[in-house]
Amino acid sequence: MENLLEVKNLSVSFQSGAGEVQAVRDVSFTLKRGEILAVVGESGCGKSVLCKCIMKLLPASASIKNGSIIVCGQDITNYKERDMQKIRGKTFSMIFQDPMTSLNPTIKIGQQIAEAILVHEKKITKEQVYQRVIDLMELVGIEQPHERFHLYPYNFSGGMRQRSVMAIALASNPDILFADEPTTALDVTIQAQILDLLREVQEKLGTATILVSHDLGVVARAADRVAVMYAGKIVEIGMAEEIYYDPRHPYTWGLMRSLPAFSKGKDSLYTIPGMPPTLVNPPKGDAYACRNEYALGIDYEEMPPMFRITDTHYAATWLLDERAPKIIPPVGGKSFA
Amino acid sequence: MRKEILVDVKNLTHQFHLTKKAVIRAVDDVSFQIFKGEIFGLVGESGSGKSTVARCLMNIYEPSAGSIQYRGIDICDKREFQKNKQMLQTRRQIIFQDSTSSLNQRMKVADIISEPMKIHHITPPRGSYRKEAEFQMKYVGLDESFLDRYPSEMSGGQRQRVAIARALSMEPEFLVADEPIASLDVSIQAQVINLFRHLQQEHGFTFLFIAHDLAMVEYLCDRVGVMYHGRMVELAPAKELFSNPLHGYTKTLLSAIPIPDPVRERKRKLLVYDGADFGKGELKEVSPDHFVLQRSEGGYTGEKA
Amino acid sequence: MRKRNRILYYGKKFIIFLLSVLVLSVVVFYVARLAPGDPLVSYYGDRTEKMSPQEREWAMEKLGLDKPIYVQYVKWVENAFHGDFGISFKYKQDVIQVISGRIVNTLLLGGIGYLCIFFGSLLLGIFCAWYEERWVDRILCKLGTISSCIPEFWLSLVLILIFAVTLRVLPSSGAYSTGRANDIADRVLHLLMPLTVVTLEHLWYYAYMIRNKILEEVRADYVLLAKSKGLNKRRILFRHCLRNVMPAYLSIMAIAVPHVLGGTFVVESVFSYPGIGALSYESARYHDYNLLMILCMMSGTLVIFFNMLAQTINEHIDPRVKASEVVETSEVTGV
Repeated sequence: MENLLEVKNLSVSFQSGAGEVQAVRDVSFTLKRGEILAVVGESGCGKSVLCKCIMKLLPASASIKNGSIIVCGQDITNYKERDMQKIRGKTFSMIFQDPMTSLNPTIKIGQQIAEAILVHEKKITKEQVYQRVIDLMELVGIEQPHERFHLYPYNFSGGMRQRSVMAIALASNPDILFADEPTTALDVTIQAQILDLLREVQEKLGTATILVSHDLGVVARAADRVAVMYAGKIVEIGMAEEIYYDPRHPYTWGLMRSLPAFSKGKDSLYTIPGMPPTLVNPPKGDAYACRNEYALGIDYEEMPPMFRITDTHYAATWLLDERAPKIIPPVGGKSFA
Repeated sequence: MRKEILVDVKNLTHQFHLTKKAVIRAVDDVSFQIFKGEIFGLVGESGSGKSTVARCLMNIYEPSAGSIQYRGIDICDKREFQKNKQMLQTRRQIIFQDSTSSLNQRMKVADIISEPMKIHHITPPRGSYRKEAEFQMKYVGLDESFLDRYPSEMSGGQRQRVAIARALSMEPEFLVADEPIASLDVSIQAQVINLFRHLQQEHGFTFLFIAHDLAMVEYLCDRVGVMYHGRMVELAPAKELFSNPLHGYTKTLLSAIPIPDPVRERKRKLLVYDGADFGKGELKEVSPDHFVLQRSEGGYTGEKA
Repeated sequence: MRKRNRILYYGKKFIIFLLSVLVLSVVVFYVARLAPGDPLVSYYGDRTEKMSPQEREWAMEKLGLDKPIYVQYVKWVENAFHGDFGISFKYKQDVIQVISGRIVNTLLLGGIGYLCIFFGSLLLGIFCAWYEERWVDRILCKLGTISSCIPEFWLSLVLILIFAVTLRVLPSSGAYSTGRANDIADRVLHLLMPLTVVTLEHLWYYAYMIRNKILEEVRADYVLLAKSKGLNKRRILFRHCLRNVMPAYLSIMAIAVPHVLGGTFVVESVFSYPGIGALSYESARYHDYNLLMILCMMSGTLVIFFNMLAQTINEHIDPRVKASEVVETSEVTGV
């Protein structure tokens, strides 16, 4: 399969009062046509910044320090705003965490979707646009689209709004869809529906998706591959099965173990000690070392490289070095409660 | 032997008037009890009325009908409330979802924690307000060095713990936590949940825990009430509810809990509750301590007849 | 049914309007008479000092000031309904006559000033928002702040010094040169400087508000979505952000109408511009009750009217305000 998106050694920094915040540090990954890649990590790990950086939606205080972004074979790293406008919506588009605020409250839903169609297709009749909007609304599971076309966002429930946002994002049939915590603000029952919708869309239209979330439990339903991010770096990446059944990085273990499903019947939930490091002055070794009960001496000194476990599974921890002591991972295998 | 009842809610109804004609019944004839020392969970989708129940319990809203008794005092009765105002306002405390907005950004943590004591003119039992704040910080597992910081310099979990410490400074016995973990990272959610567990087990606090994350509710709560469109549809001990859900809506909710296992998770079928015949009938005890909203002609509402 | 509702709606507004005006008239009438001072001075001038008590009594009776305040008030309302607002003590003329000569001048100055402010701030605000934090925006922001800090009278004096005294291109005072009341070009020349001052004093306040409101909208999440669907900056700014800012702007500008019209007083006195600004001041100072009453009622009615207009505009433009009407179709969240 061809690579739709290739990110190589990408580093992104923000200028802030406290100094340069290295939000994304040396991140490389690829996305194939039609796959769903989940990016998981705590807030502030750079997962949102990564998506917005690829779409160039970051504020002016952010800049790409290093690396390249190649979309459909084109290097867009140095694209200016004018060039980006041409490919936004068409090549990639994005949905956001809070459907309550990501729609314009004073414009009718139907018109907001129509606008997204008209951006890239100028020669199209009014009737055709209307039909396309209705089709899109049906695609994302909005019932009675003809009546709802004329409603305002405040008439919609949270789930409906997120579906509308999806319709807008899919209006120009993009190759890549970035979904930034699309279910976090929704009810549990709606969450699963939206995840299923992502899958459905991917199967119907072949859209590749990058799904950002802080919850490993949630993404299991939709993800083909999973990347775990910590302190601006990808620390582990692999097929979903590999990450869930055979995680290798201690941080992935920590994330897994803090899910309540792993603590049934136990007195307390597992918590990862300490706090993520500030990214103004990231530690020189493994950023996770000081929170890691399995940390080795070298973790504090030298940044671990990506170790290959299988062709699809990589993890950045010195525990995978052949000289490291063998330890039994606290999670893994198919022994879920 | 039955446990001591702390909160007794009977036929609570609360209506919101949107216009003169349009009335929304946010809470509709809800009855339940909270026993001393337990963690009572209240789950349901947004708009199901769970937060409204919490606010009625805290005297933030005045119920349209029904009664709420706290330690046998009818808190909806203005005269009784006035008579016991001091006790009611210190013994019951509420923690909100968004600690970023419920803490004053321009106050230091020490002042945030001691402010309610100053308002109620309580002489600090540990000598000074500062000592009191230090004590509460240790209680919720935060370092003293945070006392001179501002909320913006802390993580979400730490801020939520400051909010808890502030509530605890009044030495309450009953804490209402309205979606306290919804805006936190998974690993930080665990910290807050552990703290609640600790407070209940070691110090005998009683909690009303409102959440839509059922996995956490299953782990934390002793008894759980499920609300749907303002009504209580099922009420049972957590173990019983999660192993033997009876109402259609409860089944739907439980089917939506994500499993951190891609193979099983992808196969998991989502149930859909259409609520077609919802609303008729009343809450009945089907087995000890397990209540379900039942149709008068038999069978559960929400169950396909 | 809908039509009846609308009639009811506007009827209610109208009654509220009348009640507000009535309350205002009572308050102004009472407060004016409670203020210390001798109303006879404005009518008789220096002669008042030499008056005997009998003469005073007679004078008071003649002006209708001897009766209790509420009787005076009822009398005033009665006459007002017949279009008789009494005579000005100072000018010894019907107040309507006193005002009518001058009100056109004030309306001209205030009205044109208002239009300049309305469109000027809109354009300036959008311009600054477009070039946010670039040097153009920064310089304009600094200049704007300075301009609104300069006192009106000082700016007026500087302008007079430059254009009237040194360059001698513009007239320094009045509304028209003697004997040329109908010469439009002459009036425009006289208006230029007062207009500049009135506009400059208010312009930045509203422009800055528009700029910040737009920037607030630009930070909103829906702009990110609009960007990610490929819209360009112009469309986002005009179709999305400006649309959401306009209700707030319109309602503030509606309230600003009496503010701008009434705020011309200082300018009028510096440029000796024959408007009603100076008149209001005199009437309050010299207890010219009838004149004060009509001036207060005029500006007060304007304030009330435009406030209500602002509210109505808001309700009609912003669908969110009307949200409660369509609540049957919507779902109430967060309850």
